[in-house]
Amino acid sequence: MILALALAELTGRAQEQNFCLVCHSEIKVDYLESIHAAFNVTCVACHGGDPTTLDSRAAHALEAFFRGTPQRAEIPELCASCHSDPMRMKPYGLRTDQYAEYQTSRHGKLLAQGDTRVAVCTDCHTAHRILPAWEPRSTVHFENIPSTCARCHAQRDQGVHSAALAKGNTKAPTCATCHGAHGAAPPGVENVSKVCGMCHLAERTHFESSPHKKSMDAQNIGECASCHGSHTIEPTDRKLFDTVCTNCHGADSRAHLVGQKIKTLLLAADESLREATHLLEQAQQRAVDVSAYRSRLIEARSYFLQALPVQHSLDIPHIEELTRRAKSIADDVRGGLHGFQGVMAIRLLGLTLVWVFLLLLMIVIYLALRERRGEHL
Amino acid sequence: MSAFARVRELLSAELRQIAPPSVGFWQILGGLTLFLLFLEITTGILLMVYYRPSADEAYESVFYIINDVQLGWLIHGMHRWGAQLFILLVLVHLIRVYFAEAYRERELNWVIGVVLLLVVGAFAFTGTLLVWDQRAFWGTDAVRRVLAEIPIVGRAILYFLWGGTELDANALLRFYVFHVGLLPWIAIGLVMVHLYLVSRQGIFHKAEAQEQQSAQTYGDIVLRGLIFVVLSFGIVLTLAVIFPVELSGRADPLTYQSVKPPWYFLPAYGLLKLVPKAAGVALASLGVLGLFAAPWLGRNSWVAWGLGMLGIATVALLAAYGWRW
Repeated sequence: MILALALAELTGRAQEQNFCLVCHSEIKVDYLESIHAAFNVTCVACHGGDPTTLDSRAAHALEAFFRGTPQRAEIPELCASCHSDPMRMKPYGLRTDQYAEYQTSRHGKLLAQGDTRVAVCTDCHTAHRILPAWEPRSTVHFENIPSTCARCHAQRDQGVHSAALAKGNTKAPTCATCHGAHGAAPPGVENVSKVCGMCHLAERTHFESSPHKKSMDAQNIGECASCHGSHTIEPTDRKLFDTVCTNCHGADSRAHLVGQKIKTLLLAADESLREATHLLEQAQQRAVDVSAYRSRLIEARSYFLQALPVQHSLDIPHIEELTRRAKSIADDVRGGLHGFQGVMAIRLLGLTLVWVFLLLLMIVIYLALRERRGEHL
Repeated sequence: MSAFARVRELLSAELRQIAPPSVGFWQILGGLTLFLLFLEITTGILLMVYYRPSADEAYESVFYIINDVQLGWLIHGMHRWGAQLFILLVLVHLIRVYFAEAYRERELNWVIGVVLLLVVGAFAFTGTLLVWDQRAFWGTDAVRRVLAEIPIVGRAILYFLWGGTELDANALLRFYVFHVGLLPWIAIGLVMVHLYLVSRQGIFHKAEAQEQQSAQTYGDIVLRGLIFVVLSFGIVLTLAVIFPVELSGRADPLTYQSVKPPWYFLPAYGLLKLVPKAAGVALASLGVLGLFAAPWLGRNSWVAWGLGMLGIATVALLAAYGWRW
């Protein structure tokens, strides 16, 4: 008998007895694709009723605890009845704190106040086609999160992060990375650098040591977002020093001059690095030995990359030191690589010498040929 | 008499033999291709010292050869340019033999020569992929797509040559095995038979030329050939120095790059652009069969000349079409 029951389970007899799908065929495909169907969590778990009968009245009878479509306000609690139960979730390795997080979220708080327009579980996960987050078709798969959130929120990210996500960069942040998933809430002004700093750790460290940190917090200015924006973050560009500094500082103020000084230092190092990289690529294409320059250029680039987060500290001597190192090494490399024309000259000289030897060889062979023919003639 | 002295005597006796008076520059072409084959094998062996035939390391090893190995760029350049000159000379040699009607009574050697031409083409094709850069990858993949469309035998050919239906590490390894482990032996064997038949049947010359008094020996011809050997070595060296090989970035199967084939495959490329792929392959195969059958098709001199000119014009037009599009 145990064997028969196990076989029934394995062959999906439980689904065969889920007669709800006979009448509610419009959701059959969605439901059968879902993770719930895969683990035999049938309609009755959420809607109640008797799934074993084809008699509509008996199936929807109150005696069979038929609940119908749950009210929006009830949905989080209903889902939590299973998903907050560690005993039930343990076999699937799922966490059980989503409901607790939801209650602390903006969505959860507004729902508690009776606002049923906020997102509940089914808005993000769908009601019947619930797929695990790793499944690319899932509405909560990292690539689909921006479009899922955008169903309600118009502030869709259109900056570097969404561009990286569109290119398939799995490390790129989605809405949930900054705002949280079940505990979704806008970060407070004083917490912006902490949220951004989850990924941009070095930038955050240097920003927090800068004079900006204290004054921005005091004036309730949104740290990173005040210069870089929040949902339309442009690729970092030295032009920012010309456009955003003047939002707070006067064009002839000392603070603006500091910004311009940082910009000049970074630009000079960047240009020198670009030129050196270009020359290195050119030399490589012409098969010049550039191995020594390649490692020097990596060193220069690493100093420059160190300088980029340090700029957030506004620590001019530190930035100056790093950019000076990057620039001086890049300039050395440029100087050396400019000399690769010298390498070409040496090669041509070598070629000329080889040709002289080859011509002499041809003359010797020709003379030998004439001598031989002279013998015969 | 020692074996060495015996060989020397045989060789000098051979070189002292009177050669037909009509043997001149054009007859040296065949010998020059032999030198270029030797050059390719030598530079190829040197490249094998550093080359690694795996998808992970192939491009990096070629990059290393070009940029870090002492004179690696020169050896690689000479291998590439030597191959170009080799193919050019093989084609010119074939055309010369055809229009001189030197295949008459030497049909077997003609057939061996055509097989050698195909082997040279196979060398060029398999060698191109080994660099594993973008141009090599997408150029070879274009051929894979053509072969995949051949009904019945297409997949079988792909499994034999590519080791599957996709261009991947299997294909690279197979191409390497063909390029360095199989084709050189086939080429050396065929060249030996080709040369043996030349020595057995003699260099072709017109009957009237035989009447004339010849003033040259085979030794003279070898010496004259040596001048051209030195010259062609200089040309390959110059090309390798002035136009060193450029790589087009590591092969990336996710980033498509449109690639034009090298000049010697342009006629086939033009044909495939002009007609459906399966039909193009059938027509190209027919052309190769025609080349094999040339001695029998061109029994009459005028017919042979006409067919030859028609063939050259067709190939040139197809190459021009392939180059343009």
